[in-house]
Amino acid sequence: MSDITGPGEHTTRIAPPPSAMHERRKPKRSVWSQRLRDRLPGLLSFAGFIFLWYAMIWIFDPDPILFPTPAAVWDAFIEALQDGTMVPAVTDSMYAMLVGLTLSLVIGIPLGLVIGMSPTADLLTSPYLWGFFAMPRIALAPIIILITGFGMQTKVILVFLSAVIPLMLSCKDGVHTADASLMAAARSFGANKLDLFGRIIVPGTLPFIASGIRNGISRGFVGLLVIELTVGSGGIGTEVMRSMRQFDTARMFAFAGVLIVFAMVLIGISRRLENYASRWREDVVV
Amino acid sequence: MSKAANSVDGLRDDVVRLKGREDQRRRNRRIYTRRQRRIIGVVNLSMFFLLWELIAVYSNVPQLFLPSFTDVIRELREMSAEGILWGNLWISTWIYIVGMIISLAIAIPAGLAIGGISILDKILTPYVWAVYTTPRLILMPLILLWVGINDTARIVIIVLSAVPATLVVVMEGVKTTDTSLLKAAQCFGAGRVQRFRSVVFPATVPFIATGVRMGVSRGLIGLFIGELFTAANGIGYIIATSSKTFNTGRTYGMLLIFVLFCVAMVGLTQLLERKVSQWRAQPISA
Repeated sequence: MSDITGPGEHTTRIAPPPSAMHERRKPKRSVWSQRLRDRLPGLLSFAGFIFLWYAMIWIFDPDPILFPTPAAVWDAFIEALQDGTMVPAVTDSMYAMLVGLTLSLVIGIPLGLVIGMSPTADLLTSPYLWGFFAMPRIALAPIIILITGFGMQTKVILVFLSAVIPLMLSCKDGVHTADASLMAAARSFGANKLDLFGRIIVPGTLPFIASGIRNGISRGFVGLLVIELTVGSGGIGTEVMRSMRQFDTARMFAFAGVLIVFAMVLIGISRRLENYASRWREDVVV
Repeated sequence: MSKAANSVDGLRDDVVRLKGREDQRRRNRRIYTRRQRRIIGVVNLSMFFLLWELIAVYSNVPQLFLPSFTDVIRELREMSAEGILWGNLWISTWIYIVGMIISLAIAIPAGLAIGGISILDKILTPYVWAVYTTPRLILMPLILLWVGINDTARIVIIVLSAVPATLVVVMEGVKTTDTSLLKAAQCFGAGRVQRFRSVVFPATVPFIATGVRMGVSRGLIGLFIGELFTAANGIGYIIATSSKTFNTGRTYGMLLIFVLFCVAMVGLTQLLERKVSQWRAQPISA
């Protein structure tokens, strides 16, 4: 069953595989060429995407208000950089995102671990966690806006709420999958509850925490954007909405593109983290 | 197994882990009996509502922020009498179901195709992951621009939210098919179509169920956002407008209904998932 998880999968990402043959042939450039080769499908598909974009404009010839060319979007991006709307929007959004995420990490991970450790806590909290998990947290946005207004605070709270639930559930599940035989072994060697927690449960849960963080980021973006798009409290979403109202589609694409790049970078970082956290787990997970 | 997919995702592990942890969780949770769990659950929830009532009535939190539970119930009754409740619930359910049927009709075949046909896999996988990773919510204004503000836009938003989540899981599910089974089938002279129908597809069924559950929960986000932006009816619309008119009793009431709606949807799909994966869990763990 080990081929399911694909043992080579993580190592290719962290370091190029140390294949002796390969290194002998190209002693110096191997790392970079390997890296380039890993990126090649991504780069190619990006080029293909731009090509497809132009092709569609060439075939359908749409109104530029509905569908601008990549060049127009690039111009709009440069213009937004120069007139000083891009940088504050990005910093605004990212600040809310990072503060909300940090809060959710600080609160969500310990809570999730504790809930996972104690069956009673699990039983008591599960209806609420379950309800919160099933319901999109953004449904709470109207009430939160009512209480805290339109500012940065609201964004942070919504990012926090959106991110913390998947994170907690992920931690909880991680604790539940802790290997029972390892626990039994540790217990028979005289480990107390704290030892069990620190030595077995936390390391075992690391990959789950990491994947929870990744989920939290992608959910957090939803929370952030809902506030920015609906109430116009600054940030990238607000700029996108403003561009749309002025029918400046190229500018809208530019801001959306920037957001997408940031999301990808954040999620890329969290993937690295995840690979790093679960690198030892390969052969433990059946 | 394309390199591109490997370099972008840690998610294949996620999917596999997801399958494993369901079994493990059931094994770990044998401390309370079913009956005890049910009783504690009921007591727990009623304590929650009681506490809510007490805090709302006897503390200094303004009623605008936290209406009492009885107020909320009264408001719900009133809405039911006015016909607001059932009409909007019906519309939301209807739109949601149409959106989900369209999403699944796109996502499952596409996932099977991309996972099963290696050329499609090589070409499309980077795009699929890119779309999966981006916060698609930022495209919201674009959809309004292209589709207009109407019910179709709502359905489009649901489809956009749900399709990538389901597709990714199905696609990865196809790739996890046991290669030894495939080889055996090939040795016994099974053709491409036959192999797909009698080996790959049954092995993928549990993943499809998981994918459906993911899609359903993402689709709920889409539903709410759609109603927030475009609708003049539906649950989300009532939640948003009643909070704008400071009728928080109504907001909380509708939120309660929405939570129940979401729990019902996600619970149903989880039941389906459990049913479907039962046959698969046995041969592996045995």
